[in-house]
Amino acid sequence: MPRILGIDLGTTNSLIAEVVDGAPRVIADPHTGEVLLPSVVHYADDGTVLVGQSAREAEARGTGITIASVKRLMGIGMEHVNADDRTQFPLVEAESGPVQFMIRDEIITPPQVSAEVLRELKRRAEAVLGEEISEVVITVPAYFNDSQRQATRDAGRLAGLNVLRLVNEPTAASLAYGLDKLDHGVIAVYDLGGGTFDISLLRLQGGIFEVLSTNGNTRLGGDDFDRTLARRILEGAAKTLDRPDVLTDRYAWALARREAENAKIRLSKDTETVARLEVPGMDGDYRVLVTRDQYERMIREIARQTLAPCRQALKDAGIAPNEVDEVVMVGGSTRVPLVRNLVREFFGKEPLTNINPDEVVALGAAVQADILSGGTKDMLLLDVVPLSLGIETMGGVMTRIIHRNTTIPCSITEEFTTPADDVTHIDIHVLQGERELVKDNRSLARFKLPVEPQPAGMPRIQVTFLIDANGILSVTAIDKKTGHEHTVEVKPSYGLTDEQVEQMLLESFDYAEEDVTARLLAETRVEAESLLLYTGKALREGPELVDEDERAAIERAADALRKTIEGDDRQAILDATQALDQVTKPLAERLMNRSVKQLLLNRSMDEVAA
Amino acid sequence: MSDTLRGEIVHNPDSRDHFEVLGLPRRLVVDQDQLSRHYYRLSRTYHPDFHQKGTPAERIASLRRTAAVNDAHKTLRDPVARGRWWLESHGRKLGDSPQVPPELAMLVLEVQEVLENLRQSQDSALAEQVHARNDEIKDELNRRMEMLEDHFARWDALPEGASPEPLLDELAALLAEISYLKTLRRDVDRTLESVGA
Repeated sequence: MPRILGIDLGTTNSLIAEVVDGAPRVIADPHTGEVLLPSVVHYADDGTVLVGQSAREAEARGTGITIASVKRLMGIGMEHVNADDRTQFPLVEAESGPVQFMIRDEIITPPQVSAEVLRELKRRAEAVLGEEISEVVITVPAYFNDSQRQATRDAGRLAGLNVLRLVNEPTAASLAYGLDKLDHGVIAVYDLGGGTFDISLLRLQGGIFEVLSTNGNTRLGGDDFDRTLARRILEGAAKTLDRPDVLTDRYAWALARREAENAKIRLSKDTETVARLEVPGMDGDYRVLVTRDQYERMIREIARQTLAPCRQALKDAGIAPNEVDEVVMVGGSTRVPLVRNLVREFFGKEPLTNINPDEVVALGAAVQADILSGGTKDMLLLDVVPLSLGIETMGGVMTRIIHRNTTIPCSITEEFTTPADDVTHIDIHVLQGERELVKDNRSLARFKLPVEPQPAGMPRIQVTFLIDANGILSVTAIDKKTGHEHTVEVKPSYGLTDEQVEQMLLESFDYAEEDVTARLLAETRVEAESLLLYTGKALREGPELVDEDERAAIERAADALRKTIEGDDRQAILDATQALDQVTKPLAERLMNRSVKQLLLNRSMDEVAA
Repeated sequence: MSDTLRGEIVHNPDSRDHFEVLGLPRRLVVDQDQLSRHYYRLSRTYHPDFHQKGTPAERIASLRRTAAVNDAHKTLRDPVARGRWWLESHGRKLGDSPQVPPELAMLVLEVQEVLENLRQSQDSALAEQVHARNDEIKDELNRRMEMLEDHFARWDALPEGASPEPLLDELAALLAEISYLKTLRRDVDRTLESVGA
């Protein structure tokens, strides 16, 4: 039987995992040993597509087009894209309609970008396992709506994968935690990722994981922390250097966001750090000291926004915070000490953090894949639909048919009739959301049900709304008079049609037949060149920090790497890259320490931001 | 499923009767532990996760049956949903916007008045009053939830052949009151939230 793997398709990073002898483990890149694949795709000017770390490095060079955090745009329309995203992404300008990118005269959709990340994971797994991978489980934020889920499934298809199941990230995480050992109890999963926040409450009983409620915000995550700090850094640079132009420079923003992310990571361990920004057209970097205290004041309000969904989830589950037996932390952003403190205070107990929060979702996806392949029958996940589903009724009001937190799969049948004589069809407008009015909810689909012309109120059309185990809706209608049954295709308003997916698939197969090795070689070269650039810069900045021997060793390793880049031996380049990386590590650390000391008594973040 | 095979208890996953779907005795007073036990066991039997590799027909059946089991569980677990379903399965429907039940008219009027005043004045003393009225509503609600359980017990004791009509009237009235109190509570919560009290 073919192997089924689990994929965590994250906003910031993506991972792939498998179950071996009953235990899940993530699959690392066979060359670099890296487990996390940055969810970044770079479209180079020459048509090459790079994914992951090499795409990030290409971004830093400022050529081509780089798309990061595309998950934020999956399955939504232009009217839901905020101002920040409009500057961050190379969007085709429009007030409404589907989100599209313009890349070298070609229109690319978010699922296509996501598919590049999935393909890279597929290649990685195939290289390690030595067999073709075609069946996967992919995780999605629990709070993803129907169109976001369909877009994720489309991305899988475009990558040549059969997506057997979409699993909610927090529930997947609970599977990975092996909490089935807990005979019974209530657990809360707090999942703060790069771009999304989910909270789920589950009851555990003899291996059954029953989700009681889920809530969240698909537009809230660690990215927002990074943007806040990036803005402060740029504002500081604009003011201190009298360079207001950096505030509108997309490249400067990209660098500032990268640095903000790195500073966040450093501040999770250290109480202060120096943020550095390379300013175009300026010698040396702009630097500013950020203390953890200052940082926490900056992000506190964003972090606190996660608590309202927690309260709602508890309320929906009918559970008090002190009835929660375990709190599980998921997502890289839960490493931020402030976030841990907020969660500890809110639930009144120490959250579980013993599984790497970056890996736990992928591990859970692998467990679910194992369940689907018949590997384990001990565990069963009973998940819920996160948002109510309904239809438009008279007066622009949404009438709920399936309520949020209903266990899936679920099916509800409603009978419809006509409001006037000789009507030939009934219009059905499917909505998802919790608000009263149609206009405040997400429009999922509209379709027409054909009916035989009859006097008003005579036709009897039974419509069944079915939400499957992936949380995806399908609709069937039966004309009770004629017995005719038709399946209604629920096309998400911003999704791709089947024809579009087919066409894209064909195009991508053409592309896949191009030499894959050439592509891998290109990626490896990019990584090597970035390291060479960084090394040169470090040697210039801290000449007094290296002695003769060390300098000679670094230069020897750099020369060796330069020679391998000219050749076509990918493994040789990889080895030489790693060798250079090793000898420059101590220098990098010394440089970092020095800049912290230099700025300790210098200007601080507050002054800059004032 | 030993306890489902005795007497008249049947398990029929394709039935429209929630008791039959879960293989539970046809009694409105539900033993929650038994309900959970049956629910989990049937989920383990029918859930699509365990039929992923089956034929298309098997997968469709698994999906349909799991949906039915989930629906039955959701309905029977919650006394109000259970009562509503029972009413509907006897051909009665609870109106979407019921009249103010006479017994609650006074309370409703008073609460609406104090809410309106609070919305206009944002006075913290009024907020205190609203909190007090909210407790009163909660008490009324709890009392009716207890009455609902007693009411269910009377259905279970209804002799064979007796007319269910009087009980149906009583159930409809009780559910209308509960629905009204819940709406009132939601209004109170929303108002308190909007004035930040």
